Amino acid sequence: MRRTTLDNGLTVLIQEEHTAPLASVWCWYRVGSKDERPGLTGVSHWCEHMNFKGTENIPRDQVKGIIEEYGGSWNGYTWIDQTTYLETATRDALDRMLFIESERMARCLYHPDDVESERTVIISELQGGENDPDQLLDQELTATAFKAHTYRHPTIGWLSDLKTMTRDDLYGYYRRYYVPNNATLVIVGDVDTDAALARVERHFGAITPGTAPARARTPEPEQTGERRLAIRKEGTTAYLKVGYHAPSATDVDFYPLLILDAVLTGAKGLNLWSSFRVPPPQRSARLYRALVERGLASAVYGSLLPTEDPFLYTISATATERTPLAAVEAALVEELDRASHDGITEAELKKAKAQLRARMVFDTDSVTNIAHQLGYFETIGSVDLFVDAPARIAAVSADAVAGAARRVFAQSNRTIGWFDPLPAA
Amino acid sequence: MNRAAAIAAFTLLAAVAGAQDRPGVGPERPFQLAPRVEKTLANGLRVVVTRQTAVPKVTVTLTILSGFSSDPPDLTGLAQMAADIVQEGTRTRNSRQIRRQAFAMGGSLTAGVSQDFSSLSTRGLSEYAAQLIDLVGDVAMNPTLPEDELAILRQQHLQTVSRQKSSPQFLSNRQFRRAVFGEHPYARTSETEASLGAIDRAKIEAFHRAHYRPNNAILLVVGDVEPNAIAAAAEKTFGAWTKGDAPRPSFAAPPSLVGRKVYFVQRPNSIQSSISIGNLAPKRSDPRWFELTVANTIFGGAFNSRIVRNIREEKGYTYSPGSAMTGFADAGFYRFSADVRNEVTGPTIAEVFKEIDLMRARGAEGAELQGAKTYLRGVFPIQTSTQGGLATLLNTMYVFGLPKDYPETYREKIAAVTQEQVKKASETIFGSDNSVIAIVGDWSKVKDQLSSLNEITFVDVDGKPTPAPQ
Repeated sequence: MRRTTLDNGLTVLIQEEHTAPLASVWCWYRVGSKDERPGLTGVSHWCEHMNFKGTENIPRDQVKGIIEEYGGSWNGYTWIDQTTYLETATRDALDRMLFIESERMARCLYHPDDVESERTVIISELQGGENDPDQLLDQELTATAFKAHTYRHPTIGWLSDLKTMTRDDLYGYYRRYYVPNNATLVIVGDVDTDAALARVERHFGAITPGTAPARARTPEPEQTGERRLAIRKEGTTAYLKVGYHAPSATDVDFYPLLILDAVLTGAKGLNLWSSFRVPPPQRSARLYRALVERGLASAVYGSLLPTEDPFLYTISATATERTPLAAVEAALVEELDRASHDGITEAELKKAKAQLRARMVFDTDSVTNIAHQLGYFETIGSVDLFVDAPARIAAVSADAVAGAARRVFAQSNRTIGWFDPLPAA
Repeated sequence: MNRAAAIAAFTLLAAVAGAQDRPGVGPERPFQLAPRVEKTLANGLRVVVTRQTAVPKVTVTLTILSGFSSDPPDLTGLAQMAADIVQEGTRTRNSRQIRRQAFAMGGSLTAGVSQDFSSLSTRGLSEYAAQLIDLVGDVAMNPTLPEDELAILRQQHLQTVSRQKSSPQFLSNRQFRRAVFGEHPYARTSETEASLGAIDRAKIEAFHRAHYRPNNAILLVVGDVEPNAIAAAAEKTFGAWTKGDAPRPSFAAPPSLVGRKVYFVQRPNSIQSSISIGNLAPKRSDPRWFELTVANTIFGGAFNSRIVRNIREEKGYTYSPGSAMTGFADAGFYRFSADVRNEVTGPTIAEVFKEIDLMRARGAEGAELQGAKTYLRGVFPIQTSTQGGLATLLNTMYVFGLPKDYPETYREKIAAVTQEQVKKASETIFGSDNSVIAIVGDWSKVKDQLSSLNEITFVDVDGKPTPAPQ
């Protein structure tokens, strides 16, 4: 993998993979919902939508078609630290993929009519999430766990802001953050590195850099007591979520906690883009045995993702019918307390490491997934975090896991959320 | 992905005329899979091996040619429970040992059940290919069906049934499928509390004995492996498996659809309506599948399709509209689906029928046909570039009896689709006057918009008819 920085500040990562005649291009921006100020929540994600709505050289109805007309796939997403766009297609389309991304970086239009039509599309997207009890609980838990840091508001934004944001709000935000010195371009596939770099220079070299965006953020103060929330709403199933403030990707406790999560709920790997594809192996995981085998929950799931600032480690459980949420909570907390008192065994450590290694092989089984991982880690810190991950995982000791468990699983560090269903009227 | 917000819920197509300053794309590259080695053991088990060396791993899938449609009507979920429970213990391995051995080989073991088949699938590092085949063979042939694991599974499935009742997308699809298929087994999309209560160990054992037979199964192996060594490993593992005559499902004729049948599932305080619109379609092995696919791609099977352009891009009604064709062994269906804001529920239905009538009347227009064909030809090599994608394609081919050269000729068959065929295909799949409409939402918020629809049948979350909500 070669890392280069163009004169205008654009970071370029290129990795050759000659297994199929394909190439994947991802363009990453260091802007996500944590960069948003009050009144503009959801602006990062809305900009992402607008950046598929026409550029100076690609008419508005063709931005989505230009990659598909010769059979490529495309998508984009926004989360707390990042906004990203991708194309995967035949390697012969590399020039066109780079052209699209250069247009997106410098020449999007933000036509007022398109702002209005996307407003309702995004409100529909938001409502789809709120219609899902598990997602609603996740959103409310996060908002309760954070009181100062901007990780507290949902990526999609609050409805009131989505109703009032203007075209100029969106365009101003786009111009501030979509500059080459705030971006990383990743190419993985059946390409020649030197030739690919020359093409990148041709498409992006002339884009002028901007002022580095200001990054004023309030760090989340240490939580001083347990927080709770309970949602009572129509539904058929009771959900429990417990969130702990967790180490960031660069913190020494991150990999020990990742291993602890594997022991508690099964190894997930490190790929946000592909982690949903295959459920984690968890039949011997501690929380599976404590909750599912005992009939208290039908499912349990842990989530720790690499983030730039300290985010949350969340454990979610679905209560079985007629099991009170309090009983699920008590059994879950008891297991976490056990982990923070006694740590994990050497056998568990060894198995969790093996599982994580295997997951990481599957996390990088296509040019699209490899390119995602390179860009994701570069955007939240450094690509070295990804390159070094196997070594960092291998180096984790049982003592380090026990230490992380003690620090993270403190009662005062947690927020507990219940979704308690009301029978339909 | 449920935390991050994506631009598109799924990745789709387009068809547009060229613009200026757009770098060209070279000519299409030839597409060639490694040759498949196919062998049938003396007991009837078909073994198919394809080399794919992109990563040093292997995917082993044992597909049993019996699925949901082999469930007796009052035991919906039997095939699924059988596929789940066989992984929980064999005569020589308990549940934990099965998982531990799969992990130790860098892999996993999962079950997937569809209308016409049940698959046990494992993947791992290719150096363990023979052991992975042995593991899959053991769970398929020698399961002990332990009662304690069955109790856990039943509990999990009951919970799924309960959770499904709060999912508007699930309820919309279920009502749609029931209306389209009637007494045909493809009407059944999920278990019920009653069917789960009635499925016991004896019934699973009988299902397993009847259906898990070598002459009712296919072993598919894709990966960085040597085909002759795999064939030998398959013989060693499965050679002594005894054959038997698996009963075939009985397929009742689906009801003939006359008029627009409208169903409404009341979901109080719903902030969106989940809509399904569609009808019966040909089965997966129908030779018209290529033209039907092209027609659906133009209509709603891709991002720049007419439906998405109209109701998402232009009108902003919804984030997630689309249409899909699904083909099974005996029949198929086409379904438009979307979750839309309450206040545009009626207008969305009107727009979908407007687009259906246009497709039926005029077929593809302008550059649409060429665009859809190029798109489908282009995504094919991407879909088959991963081991999972290739294994899925091969499974489809062998389950539905598609021609042996299906992967190699797919792109030329798509290229050969004509304007006339697309128009004919549109008339075949997109029912206008005769179709099913299933809506899940809050009646009090949307009823004024639905006054133009014919008689509406109201059903509850269990699918039972109810009076109209107040």
